[in-house]
Amino acid sequence: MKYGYAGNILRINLTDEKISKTPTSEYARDFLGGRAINAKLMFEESKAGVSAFDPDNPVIIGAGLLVGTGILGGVRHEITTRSPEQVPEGFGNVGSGGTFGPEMKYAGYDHIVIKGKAKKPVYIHIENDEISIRDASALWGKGIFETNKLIREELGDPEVAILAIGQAGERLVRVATIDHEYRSGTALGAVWGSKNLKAVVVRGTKGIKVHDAERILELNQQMLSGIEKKLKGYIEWCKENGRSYLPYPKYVLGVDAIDEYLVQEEKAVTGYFKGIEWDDLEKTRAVPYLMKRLVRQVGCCPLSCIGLLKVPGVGTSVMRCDPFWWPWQLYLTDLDRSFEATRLCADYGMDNQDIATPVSWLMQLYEDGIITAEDTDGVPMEWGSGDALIHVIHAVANRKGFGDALADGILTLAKKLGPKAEALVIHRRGIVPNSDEFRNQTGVALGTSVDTTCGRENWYGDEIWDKHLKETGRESELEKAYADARMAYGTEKAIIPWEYERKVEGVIEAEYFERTTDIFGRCFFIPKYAGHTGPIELDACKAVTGIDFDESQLNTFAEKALTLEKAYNVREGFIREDEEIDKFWFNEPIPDGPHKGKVLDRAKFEKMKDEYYKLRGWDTETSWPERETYERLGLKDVANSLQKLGKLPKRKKQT
Amino acid sequence: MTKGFKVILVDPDKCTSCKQCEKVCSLKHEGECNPALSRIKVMRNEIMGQYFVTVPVLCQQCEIPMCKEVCPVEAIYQDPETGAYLVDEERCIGCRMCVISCPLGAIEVDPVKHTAFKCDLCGGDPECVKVCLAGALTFVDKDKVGFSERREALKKLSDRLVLVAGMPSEEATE
Repeated sequence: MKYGYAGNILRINLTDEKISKTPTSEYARDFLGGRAINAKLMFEESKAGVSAFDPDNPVIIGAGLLVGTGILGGVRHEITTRSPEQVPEGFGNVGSGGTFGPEMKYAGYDHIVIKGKAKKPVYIHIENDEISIRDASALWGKGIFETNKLIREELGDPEVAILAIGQAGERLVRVATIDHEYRSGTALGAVWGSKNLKAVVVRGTKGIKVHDAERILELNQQMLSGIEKKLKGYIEWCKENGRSYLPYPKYVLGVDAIDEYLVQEEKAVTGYFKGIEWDDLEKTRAVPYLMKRLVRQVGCCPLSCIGLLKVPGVGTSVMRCDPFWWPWQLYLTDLDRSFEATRLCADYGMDNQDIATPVSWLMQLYEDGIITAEDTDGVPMEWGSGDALIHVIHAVANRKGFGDALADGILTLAKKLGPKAEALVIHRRGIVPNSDEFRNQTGVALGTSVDTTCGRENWYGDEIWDKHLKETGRESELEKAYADARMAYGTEKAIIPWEYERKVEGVIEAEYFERTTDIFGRCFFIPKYAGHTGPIELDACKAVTGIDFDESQLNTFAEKALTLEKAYNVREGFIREDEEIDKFWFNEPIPDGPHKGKVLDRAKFEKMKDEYYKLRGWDTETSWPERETYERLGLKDVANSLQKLGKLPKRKKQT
Repeated sequence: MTKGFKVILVDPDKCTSCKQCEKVCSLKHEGECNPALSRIKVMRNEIMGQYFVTVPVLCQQCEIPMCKEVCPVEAIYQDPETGAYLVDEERCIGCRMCVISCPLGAIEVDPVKHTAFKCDLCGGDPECVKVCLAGALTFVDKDKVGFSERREALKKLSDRLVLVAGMPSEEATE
């Protein structure tokens, strides 16, 4: 454990301002790093039933094992805490790339555990061994942009890495996010607000020791040439097939590819989870818009996947997740308005996806006559209205007018609006889906329903869509993929998105992949785009740490992380019924397009879930992991603590 | 003589602020990842909501190297192979004369070794350039710097013309 680690876990209590450090090595052998140590600390540092806004709810920031080591894409930190967005609340986790992860390691810390509640607004400043809790009253009430500026000015150091909340987090808006260099994601920001914690700021000037520096440089070159090859190859392919693309080396979250793919496969969602049929779709395409508005690319690794956009009269900001297909949910053709909304969300500290779906729902209610403009502060929720979208953002972030109820979650507002409005809410434990479709994607649906963090959409990589391939006379490519699938899974159905057979392995693989990259703190784009996943991750780990893991050992660490996350939810009393996606996906068939009529089959879906639980070593009735599963992973203490609470599955009779 | 020597040219407009150059530089020279000891520094300044304005700063291997001129112990010398100015750690006394005279701030004193350190062009194959996918760092002939600068300026101008005139760009298709 000599290489790769910064060496310390930092604990800060905001109530009594006590600060302490312990060596990371106490956890490193069993949990490796990043998200797995985060999960272990989260389970240890909290008790059942401690609510998200309780001062005892810990916030854990972890930088992965390969972060700050110079390996390409080793730039991610993970923040773990109880999610205030979920109803009921459960395990919450959000990761982000940027400079915070590397910087905290250069300062000497692999993990930071924050507990307690400050008496007045504060921010934490960490500079190597010096840690101070500073007055943030001048920052309170300020947006993300100004907060970042003021902190850099106050500290006289433009290079500090900053995690901060905006006004939304301060006002305990459930969908508030923790922002880092204009990235956000899963909403955990209100927890910081409840602790009077405005920001965590870090600067480090120490080095991270590595096992083999030359090998890291070599691997970086390998990965970069893989990425270059892939990007150039993609452009060539686009030219041949008449698809639009961004000129090399522009790579903006791969939106050109995803956008084309969603449209060509006709698998996009428009309106409030309607089908693909929308005449104006062509007006909202990514590539022409980016060609017009992109200033430059920015980001945390050479791939630099974030687009910096400038819109006259609105301003400059980065484009965030799913920038082009969430406006489809609102039938919004003016992409400048959706950019304006994104920028506003970035400043308030909220996620645009958490706003888009509720607005889409409100627009549907308005069309159906279930609500009138009266219900939304006099602003009519008309389809495609940028004004309506902007109004909702202001209302939620400031808890003004009807936004006060929506700030407490879509279910709270729905209850106020009445049963007809409630009936139309599509959610999973209070979290609304983004613009993805489950009804023709069983793997994604399964992965999402069992996700320990109640994520909106779980990635399921191993699948192939056939429409475009067939239309362009490339059946042979399709046949080859099917043949490969028959070899790997025994049936091509495993990679056909809407089939149910042999999907579970794919889901488990995706779960391992996600957690492995999060334990390492590496961006998953890199191994994906570099063209190889498993081996290069292991090579990278070896170059940095000198430890020669094999894939199954690595998966065991991933499984430990996942099982601890699950154990947290089990301790909260979650059972199989809490691992559901909305009944909507089982009841309402897709209304149009090539997938018209598709709907999830309840019996087949539950059978997949049974299979998933069995493969995981979890009880199919309760979904709780069996004692043997905990023990196999060296988590006997977790099993014992759950047994005391009666949260282990009943012993089954041997048959 | 500058004939045949190359220099690392910086185009701040292309910098994505990823800081990968700092990391690989320290790996190459220190055997550990430590941007504080990197020979290249990405200076970032955040502007309200506009992300970062970034400028990678590193030694430009000056025609009149002030660091070398002012060094009282003649610890700075030119590598005959690459033209890079190097620091002789045996001679260096850590007086920081070079640090205060460098117009770019591209030379520093190592807080542990107490000797000056600066870009040595990695012996002619700079690591930072190799990881800069965006092309903000390029390794070009010293006497062609003006030419590459002009070409870049022209390219930017033509990009702008495309936007203004609405002519289809060569690379972008629809």
